[in-house]
Amino acid sequence: MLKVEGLKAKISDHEILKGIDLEIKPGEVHAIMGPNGSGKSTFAKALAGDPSVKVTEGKVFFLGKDLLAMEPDARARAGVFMAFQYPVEVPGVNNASFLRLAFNAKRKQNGQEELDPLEFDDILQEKIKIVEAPQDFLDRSVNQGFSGGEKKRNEILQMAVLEPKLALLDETDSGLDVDALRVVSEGVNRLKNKDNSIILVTHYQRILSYIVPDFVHVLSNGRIIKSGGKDLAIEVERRGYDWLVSAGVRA
Amino acid sequence: MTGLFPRAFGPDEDDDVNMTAQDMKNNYRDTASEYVPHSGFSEWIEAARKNSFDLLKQTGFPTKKWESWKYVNLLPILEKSYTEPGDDSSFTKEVFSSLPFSGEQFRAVLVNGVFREDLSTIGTEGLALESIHSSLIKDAAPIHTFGTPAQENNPFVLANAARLQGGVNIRIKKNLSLPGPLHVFIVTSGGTGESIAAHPRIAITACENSLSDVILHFCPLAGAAFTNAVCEVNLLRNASLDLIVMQENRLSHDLFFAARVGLDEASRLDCVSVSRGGGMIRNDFQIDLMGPEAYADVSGIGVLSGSTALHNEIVVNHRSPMGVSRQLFKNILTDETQGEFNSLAYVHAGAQKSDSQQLNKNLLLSRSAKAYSRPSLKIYADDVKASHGSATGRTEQQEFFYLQSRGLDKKLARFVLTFGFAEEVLMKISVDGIRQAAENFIRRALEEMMPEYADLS
Repeated sequence: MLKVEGLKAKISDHEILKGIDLEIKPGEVHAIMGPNGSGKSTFAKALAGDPSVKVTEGKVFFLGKDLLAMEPDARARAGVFMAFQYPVEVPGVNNASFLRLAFNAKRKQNGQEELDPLEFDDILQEKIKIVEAPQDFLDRSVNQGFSGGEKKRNEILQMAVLEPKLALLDETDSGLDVDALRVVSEGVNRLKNKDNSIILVTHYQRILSYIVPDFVHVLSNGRIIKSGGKDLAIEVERRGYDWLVSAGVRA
Repeated sequence: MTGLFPRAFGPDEDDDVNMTAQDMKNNYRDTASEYVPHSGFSEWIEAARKNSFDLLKQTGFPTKKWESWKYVNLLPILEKSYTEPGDDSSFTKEVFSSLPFSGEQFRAVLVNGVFREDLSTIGTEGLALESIHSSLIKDAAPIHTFGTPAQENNPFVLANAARLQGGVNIRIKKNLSLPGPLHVFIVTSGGTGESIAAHPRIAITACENSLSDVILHFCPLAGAAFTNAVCEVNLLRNASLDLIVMQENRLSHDLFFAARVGLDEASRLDCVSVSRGGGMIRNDFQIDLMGPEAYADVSGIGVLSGSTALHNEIVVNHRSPMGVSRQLFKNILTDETQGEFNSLAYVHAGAQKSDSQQLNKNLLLSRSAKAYSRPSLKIYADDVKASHGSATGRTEQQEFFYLQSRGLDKKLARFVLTFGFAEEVLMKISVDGIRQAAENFIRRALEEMMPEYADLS
C-alpha cells in the first residue's frame, strides 16, 4: 500500500522530519504517536501534499506510484485521504454539493459517469448514518459554524463518501468529548476493511481503545524512535514519552 | 439637446480639486438657465423638481475632495453629452417580453424614467402602482416621494429629482402579504438613439404589517449611457420588505443607484444587491432606523472585470433604541478593477441597545485590482454593540488545499472557492427564482473571468 523511505521535510526553514521509514500493507492500522512538536502531523501533511510542508529528501510509494510527484488532488483521487486536525471552513459552499463534487471528481478519474444531486443523495443518506449526523449537516456551508465535534464528524463523512484506500487521521480525537469520540471511532471502524489502510496520528492513547492499531510508532524529533504492537501505546499512556525520548531508543 | 450636466455645472478637468469662485458663479448661471419645467406635471411635482434643482445649484457636483466621492471618477460622466428623451416608443411589449422575468405576475416597468402602465400590473388588490405624477394615491400614508431634499448630501439624488420625467409610486397595503414578488424593471433604452440618460425614481411605501418582496432589475439596453436611479422606501410599523437589486451592467453604461430607506418601529428590511460591471456602478444606501426595534440587513456582491469600478456607499443611522443593522459587502475583483466599501454606522444619542455590524471582504484575482475598504463608526449612545471588519486578499491557501485534498483539481477548487465567496451573500436572497438567476449570473461572470487566472495560485 504505502512505502516511505528516508522522508525528510521542512516547514518554512525548520527541518521537522529527519528521515522516516515506514511500510504499510493493505488492511493495517498504524498509529503514529509522539509528544508535541515531534513531527507527527507534519508527516500526515507531507503524505497528503500540504503546500506548507516542503519535502526535501526521501521517497514515498503509494500503490507502486511516486506519491510525491503527484498534486494533492491527484493523490486524493488515487485514494489518499487526510482527515484534518483543523478542518477548514469554506463559507458559501454547501456541504452536500461539496461532497458531490469530490465524489464525482473521483468517479470521473475512474471513467465512471458523474452522479446528479438526486442520485448522489441516495448515497449520502446511507453515509450520513455512519457518523450519526443530522440532515441539516448537508445543507450548511462546509464546516462553517460547526462545533469542533461536528467538524470531525464531517471529516469522517467525507471519508465515508470517498472510500479512500489510505486514510490519514490527523489528531481526529483532539477536542472530542467521549460521545463524539465514540461516534467518530465507530464510523472509522465501519469503514475499515481488509483492502484499506489507516494511519492514525494521535497524542493520546484514548482513541486507540476504540480504533485498535496493528502497529504503533513513536515519533520524536522527526524520527521514529520506537515501533511496536498496540501494547506500546498502553505503555506510553502509563509512562509518558520521556523515558523513550531520553533513552534515545531507535526502533 | 445639451449634455446632462453642462460643463460649467460640475468641476472642470483642471479644477477638479480646486474649484474657484468664478466656477461657482458659472455653475450658478448655467444651471439657472438650464432649468426646464415639465408641462405635464402637477404643481407640487414641479415645485419639488425646482426645489431640488435650486439645491443642486448650491451644492454643485462632487469633487474628489468630498470624502465619499474620493475614488469615483466623475469627470467622464460630467463631461459627457447625453440625451434624455423620456419614454422610448420603440420599447414595445414584444421587446419587453424578451427580458428575463417579464412574464411574472406582478410588474412595474419604467422606461427612461417614465412609468409604463401598459407593461405593468395595475389593479391588484392591495398593491397600488401609479405614476409619480398622477394624483396622489387615495388613503396613502404620507408619501415622501421627494424625501427631504434639504438634507440630501448626494447631488445626484437632487439631479434625479430636478430632471424627473416620471417614476412610479408603489404602495403595499396594510396587513397584506404580497403573494408573489413585485418585479420592477428599470429600463434605459436608446431605441435607435445614442448616449441616453435616464433618471428613474421609485417610491415604495410598505404599510403596517405588510410583507413583500420587491426586485429591482436594472436593464440598460442598446444606446443607454447613464442611469441615475433613486429608490425611496418607507417601511411603516412592523412592515417587512425584501429588496433585491439586480445590476447586470453593460459596457459604456454608468449606473448610479441611491436608496433612501426609512424604517418605523419593528419594521424590517433585507436588501441584497448583485452587481456586475460593465460601466461604473455606484450604489448609495442611506438607511434610517427611525422607530425602535427596526432591523436592516444590507448586503451586496460585486463581480468586476476589465477596468471598471463598483462603489458602495452605505450610511446606517440608528435613531431609535434597539435597532439592528447588518452589512455584508463582498467584491470579486480582477484585471484593473476597483471595489469600494465606504460605510458609516451612526448610532445617534438615545439609540440605546443598538446593534450594528459592518463587514467587507474583497477577493483579488489579479495583481492590479484594488479594494478600498473604509468601515467607520460614530457612536453617541453608551449601551451599544458595534463591530466592523474588513478583509482583502487572495484565496486562502488552506481552503484551497482542503478542496484539493478532496480530489478537486486546481481549476475547480478555485472556482468553487470563488463562487462560495459570492454565495455567502447570494444565499440571503429569499426569492428562489431570483436567487437562482443571481447564482447563474455570477457563475457566468466567473466562468468568463476564471480561465485567465488559472495559473495564479
